[in-house]
Amino acid sequence: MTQKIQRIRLPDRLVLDNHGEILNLLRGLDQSLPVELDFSGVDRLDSTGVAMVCHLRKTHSDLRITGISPHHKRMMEVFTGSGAPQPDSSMPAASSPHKGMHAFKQFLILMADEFAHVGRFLANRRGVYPGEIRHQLYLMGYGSYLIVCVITFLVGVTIALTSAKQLNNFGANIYLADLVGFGMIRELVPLMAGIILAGKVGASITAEIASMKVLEEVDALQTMGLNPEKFLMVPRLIAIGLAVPLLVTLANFVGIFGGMLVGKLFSGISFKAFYQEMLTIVNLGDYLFGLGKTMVFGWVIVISSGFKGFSVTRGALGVGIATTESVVLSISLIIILDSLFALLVY
Amino acid sequence: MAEAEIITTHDLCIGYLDTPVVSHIDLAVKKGRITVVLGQSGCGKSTLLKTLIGLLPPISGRVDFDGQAVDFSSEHSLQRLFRRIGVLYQNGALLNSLNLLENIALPITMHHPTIPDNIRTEMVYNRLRQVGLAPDMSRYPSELSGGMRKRAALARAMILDPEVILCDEPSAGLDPITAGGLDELMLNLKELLGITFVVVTHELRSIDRIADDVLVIHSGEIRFNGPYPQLEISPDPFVKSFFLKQGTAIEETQT
Repeated sequence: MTQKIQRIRLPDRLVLDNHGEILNLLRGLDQSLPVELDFSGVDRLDSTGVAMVCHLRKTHSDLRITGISPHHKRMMEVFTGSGAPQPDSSMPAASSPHKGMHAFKQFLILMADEFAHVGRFLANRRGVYPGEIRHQLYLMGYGSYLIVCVITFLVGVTIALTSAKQLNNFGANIYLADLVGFGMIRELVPLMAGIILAGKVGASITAEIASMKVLEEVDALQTMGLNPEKFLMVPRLIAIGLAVPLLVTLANFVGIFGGMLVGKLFSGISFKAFYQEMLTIVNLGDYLFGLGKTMVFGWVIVISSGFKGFSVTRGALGVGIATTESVVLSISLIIILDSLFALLVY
Repeated sequence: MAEAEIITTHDLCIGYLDTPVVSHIDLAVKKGRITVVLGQSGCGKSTLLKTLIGLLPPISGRVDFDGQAVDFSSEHSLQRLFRRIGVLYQNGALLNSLNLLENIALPITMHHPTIPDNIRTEMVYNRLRQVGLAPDMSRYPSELSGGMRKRAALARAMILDPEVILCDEPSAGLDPITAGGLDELMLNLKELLGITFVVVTHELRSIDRIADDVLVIHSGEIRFNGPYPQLEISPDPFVKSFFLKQGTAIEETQT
């Protein structure tokens, strides 16, 4: 039995402004049957016409073209760039569960490697560019302290204002000090500092490393016999470890001062009374707990930002995407970890 | 007497994620000569370079450096390779946060921290003088022109006296005079210091000036591999069209 062939006689104008007619002709073709395109009547052909034929070639493996003039055949070859390298359609999909698992594994490997590098650096003091830790400490600490102070001051004021009215109604004004002190030291300062560092420090680390990767600077480090992950990440991990205690301590003072100010102005609590009442609830352990949490957040920010920076692939566009993803990843991890900390000490 | 070979590849197949870009590469880079790798954009020249410098493991086949196989899974083997080569990247790849002195001294600072500062500065100064950038030692990469950045990158590639310098499109984006100057520099370094060069390019003028040996890649295969003067008698139509300018490479692919 001979197989049925779907013959299409193409119109004289296989061009953009006639695409409706061409689409109507091609609509409803059976993919399982061979298609024969008759070009004998085609007078004008443009890139839209060529694209339609190309698309048909993809959907119908058995596509024959008849009656095509040498000129149109040449146009088809030029437009489709035969001989030029074709994009690889066998590349894995951009996003898949497998890729996600692979990325997670890479993240854990990077984290383990980096802490091993930090340990080795602390043991032998080699492998970090001289002055780089100081430079990073300046960028992270001095570069962030003002915004951390402003935000934590405003958070302290807001929390105090929100609570003061309710506490005043019950005549429990003085407990504002407990609420602000405990809340700021254990929860709000670590969380706010973490989020600010993710936005400021994390984004900058990703953008810098991703740009270096795109500009082949990371390759250059490698061919100079340096480990780029160690060279770039160790100073940042050490610097954030040094910057966080300073920032957290400062943020605690400023945030609590914001609460004190509200207590004085809206609840009539003197600074001294506020301070004495706060110390009945808050102790050194709370401060160390908040500090420890922020240190963990800081390291997570540096690792996840570096991870995103090193995995950039697509030039300038990739740098932008990696930077955004790094901030989202860092903030998500901070919130997840914060919940875990809260659960652990409940 | 046959010249000694410093880099050889044996039935090398290179590419990304098991997708071959170029196959069956049997390359022999001879000591003290300039080997030019040429081909159209996207043909796999830079991919080959990445494999030769140890950054991209081959899909199959072998790379030997000075008679020893490079083990891409061994950090030790790669470090041994990195110590003996220098790489000039397409955009220079200088670190923007460091000035020229710090950039060029980077391999010394990191690998040989015991070398005193004044000796290190002297080493850098000598290299910068060779590439004509001695007065710019304290300038940052962002303050330099494209040609100056490439010359500075060449100085960095040379700083630890590598036996081979591999260059990725050194003349790309440079005006003919600057590109010519860079070619002159490579020829001088070859003559004076006996440095071997592997240069990836598609600049015909540059090839004409510097090439001792040529490797031509097209459509995933090697179309010519031999001394530069023999290119003229190559029967390969792509080589003819690309090199002897008898039509364009695109036309050749369609015949």
